[in-house]
Amino acid sequence: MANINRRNFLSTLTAATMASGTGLLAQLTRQKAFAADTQGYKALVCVMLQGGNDHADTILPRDQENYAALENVRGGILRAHGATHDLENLVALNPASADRFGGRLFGMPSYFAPFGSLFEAGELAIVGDVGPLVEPVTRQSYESGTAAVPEHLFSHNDQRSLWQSLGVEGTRVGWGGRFLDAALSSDPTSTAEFSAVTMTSPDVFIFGNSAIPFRPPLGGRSLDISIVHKNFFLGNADRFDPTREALQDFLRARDPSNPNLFARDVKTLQAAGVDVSLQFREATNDAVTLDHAFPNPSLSLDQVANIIAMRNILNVNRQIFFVRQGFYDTHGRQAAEIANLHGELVPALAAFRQAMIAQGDWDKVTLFTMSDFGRALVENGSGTDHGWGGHSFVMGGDVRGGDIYGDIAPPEPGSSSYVDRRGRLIPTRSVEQFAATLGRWFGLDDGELQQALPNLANFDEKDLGFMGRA
Amino acid sequence: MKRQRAPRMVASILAMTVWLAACSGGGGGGGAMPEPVADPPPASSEPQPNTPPTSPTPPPTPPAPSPPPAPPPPASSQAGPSSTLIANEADAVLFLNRTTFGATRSEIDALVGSDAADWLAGEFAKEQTRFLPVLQERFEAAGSIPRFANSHATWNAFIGADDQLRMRTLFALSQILVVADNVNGGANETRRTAYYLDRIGANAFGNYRELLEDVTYAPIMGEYLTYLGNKKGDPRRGSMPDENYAREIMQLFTIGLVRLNPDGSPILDEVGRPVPTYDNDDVMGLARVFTGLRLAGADSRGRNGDPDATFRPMVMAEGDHSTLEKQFLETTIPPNTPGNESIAIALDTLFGHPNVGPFLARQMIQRFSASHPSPDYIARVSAAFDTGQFIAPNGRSFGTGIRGDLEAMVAAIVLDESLFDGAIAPNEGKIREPIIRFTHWARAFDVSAANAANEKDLRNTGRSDRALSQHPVRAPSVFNFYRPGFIAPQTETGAQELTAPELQIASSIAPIGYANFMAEYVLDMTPTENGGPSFVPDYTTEIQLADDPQSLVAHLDTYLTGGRMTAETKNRIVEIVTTISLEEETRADDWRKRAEVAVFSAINSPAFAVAH
Repeated sequence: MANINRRNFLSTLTAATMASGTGLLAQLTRQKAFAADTQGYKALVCVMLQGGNDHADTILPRDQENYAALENVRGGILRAHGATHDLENLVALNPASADRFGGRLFGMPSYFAPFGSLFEAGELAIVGDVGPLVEPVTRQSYESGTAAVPEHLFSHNDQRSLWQSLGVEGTRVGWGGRFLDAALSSDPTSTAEFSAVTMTSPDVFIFGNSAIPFRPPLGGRSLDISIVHKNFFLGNADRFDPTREALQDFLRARDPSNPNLFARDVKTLQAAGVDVSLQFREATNDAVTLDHAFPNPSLSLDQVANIIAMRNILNVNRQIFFVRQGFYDTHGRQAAEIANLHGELVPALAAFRQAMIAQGDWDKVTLFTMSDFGRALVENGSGTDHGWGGHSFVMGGDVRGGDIYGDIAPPEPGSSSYVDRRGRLIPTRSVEQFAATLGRWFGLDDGELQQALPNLANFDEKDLGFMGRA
Repeated sequence: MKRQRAPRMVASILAMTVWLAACSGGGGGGGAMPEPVADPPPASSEPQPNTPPTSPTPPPTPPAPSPPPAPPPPASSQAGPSSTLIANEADAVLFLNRTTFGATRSEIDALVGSDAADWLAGEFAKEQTRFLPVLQERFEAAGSIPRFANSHATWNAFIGADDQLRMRTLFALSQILVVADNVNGGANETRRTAYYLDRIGANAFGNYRELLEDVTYAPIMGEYLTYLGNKKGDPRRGSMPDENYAREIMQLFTIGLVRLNPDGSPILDEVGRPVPTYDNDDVMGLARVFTGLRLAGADSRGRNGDPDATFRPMVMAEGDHSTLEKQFLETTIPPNTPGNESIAIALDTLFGHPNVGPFLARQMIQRFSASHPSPDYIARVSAAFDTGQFIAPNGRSFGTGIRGDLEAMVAAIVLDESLFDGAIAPNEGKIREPIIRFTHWARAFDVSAANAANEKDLRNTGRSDRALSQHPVRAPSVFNFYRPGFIAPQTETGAQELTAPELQIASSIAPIGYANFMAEYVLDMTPTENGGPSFVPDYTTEIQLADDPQSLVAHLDTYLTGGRMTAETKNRIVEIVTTISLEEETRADDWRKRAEVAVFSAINSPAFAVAH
């Protein structure tokens, strides 16, 4: 890869940060049968593109033949997009493994230009044709019903749950949570409460059996209980007041004698939420907030950057973050809507990468996108409908970027890459292969990966190869 | 959600018997067998004025709030085990907390000693609160409508409207037939939301088939699920119809993903897998049906010719409607069938599916009375939907006898025997929507005359870190604020596989956001605008009890939670209240502080969050 200079620059920064790191304790706890490697610091940042990002409006063909094929099924949307999607304006992707695509070329809409540079620099990888699977599937085995496939494909809530937890709606543990469970069992001295961090209402992805998501307040690092901390009639906020103390104790109390399970859960969640929020406030009260430049909206990635910077005072070696960008369900007015969404996504992610480089953390952080599904190839006049497989971005200092992993199927809905006449993409790589590649980098060993990803055994390729550049 | 009936000792024995029976009937919801629990006694000796004694024997029956439309059929001889008689204040509170936006003093007093079925008949007869005419009047007078006018009207109706059961049903249905008032900047187009809510309100006690039709033709739904302007496929351009509404009307509004037994459990195939109700071929076939709808008066390019079109039913443009054969769910609509006729056939097909009853029953029960309805409960409610009739224990009959009757369904939900059997099982009860917890406070302390338009904090209550984590008619997607199948990870209900939709928005920050939002209201510190009257709570009763923290807390326990606070909760609130000492010179202030702190604590207690 052509990016030696940047890599050298990065590793210099990294060494300096590592020296002040927290690896020692982790090293002491590495002698177990299943023992996740929890040395140093590593973080996964999951960016959920909620609603179903249209993969075919993200990675486009850049050769004449396949671009023409795309126009056959996407003429209306391409015309509505205009110049950003003109063949000559596409951001060129020159994957390291170009040979395997037999002359097919790929590009991205022009507003992805910053991603083009990251791809070029080897910090961004594309994983194509990935989605929820039980075992490898072909069009033929799908249509004849001989292949095992996940339940409730094409439904938003279920496919989202499948991506996050490998089970349909109602599943209670996600693979992000399982990764953290493994890390925490190897490194019990890390603070479990701050391992799983969600910047939005938490999805199943980030729930483990021991990991439980913490949601920090928006727009700042501390949140007070106003009746306890504000200058209310209860007295000056800085003075001890027995009523305020008693109120706070009440909110932090469990109610184990409550005969009703729902009431007990509500009370436990209230108490735990207040506890962890106050704990966070106390720990971070004196921390310096880094002032990185972020666009608005930042997708809360500015706060993710800050929390990563505070990892030592929070005492965590492994963290998983969950952020969400909504409204990708572009059944109508897709050209305008997806351009807006991608127009917010790209600068936010680029700013995050810039912040990580400034902090010297870029090689410790891997950010990836997931979405409910990719979308059907054949458009509906102004938008697109639900699909199955799609493409993901993976970026970070330790990503083997500059390449396309998995496949990018040509835009021919009648071909064996798709099901039914709308052209819904059949994944050729499973979510579990995708997750396993990230999990191995995160420090899980084979046994732990198999435990976290039960269908991984059905696939030969256990590691898609896009991680571990250093 | 079982209710206690006095005298207490009898109730305990009864509770055990009934619970065991329910358990063997499969009502336990799986998991370990929970212990039967009797209620704490109602706070019957509190020294408060204006409160009728909560004695085991009912006081003289006050007249029902509004007379029933027809003379009831002969009542059964006397209150038996499944009687829906409301014996005391606590029972009235529990019932009203399930059927209204929170029990009020006057409703409680009117209900004690009467039969819940009679109260229900009165509610069904009440005039519907309508949103559109008021906005329209305002528009005609002023030439414009303020941006949040419909949202304010919704808050006002939830808090103050007389037709509480209809509004509560409307709120429930708005969480199933979901649109959002802010879609595509829609807060500026507030009348289309008002029209939609009025259609839900009008059909709330009508027939679900008609409601489905009104929903399908409503412009805001056409906009929200993108079939407004949906055109037939174009072979030349390679396009096919938008599938959005076809898919979601099946998955979310009528039949769901898998075939259901009448008790809501999935029908399983020979190897034990659930049987899907439809596949992509059905979606593609049905998608052809929902083509050709456009705004009334719009020209061929979809441009709007009628200024009122967003609050009138959409119309069919035959030229844009698919002329192909439409095949779905074993129904075939022949080629060249006109658009409105195709839609009617499609809605008949969906409505006629045996899934609709149990599919809707489970979700409607979740909105009124049980987060995890038992199969028996679902079966009873879906039977009322299917037969179009529910007969209350006192003999009063609800519904027209036609399938799809929502009056029968709502009656079956709120008068269900599991709510009146004197037993409380640990897996019964409903976690109340944060919106309802807020409206309950507002109603209980009589701010109902105030106008939400004067309350800045009510513009958007969706934020988790500083508000309620939800705003009426503003869910993040058509999948609502939370899912009916949500099981909360790492919880006791989750360990027993109990669904708990409302816990899906209970992130670690939500309890603080709620507490802070409510603190501002309870302490009357919310920012106001427009110079109008604000939400000023009336704590007269509580201030009168403030000398005696025990009595104050006992009163709030009964008045707000129907006697469901645990001793632990009550003791803690007494402790909190007692920290405020009563000083000679500041006595009046101290009483008020005690009242406010007690109310704040009570509305943050688990008993207030859960109706059971």
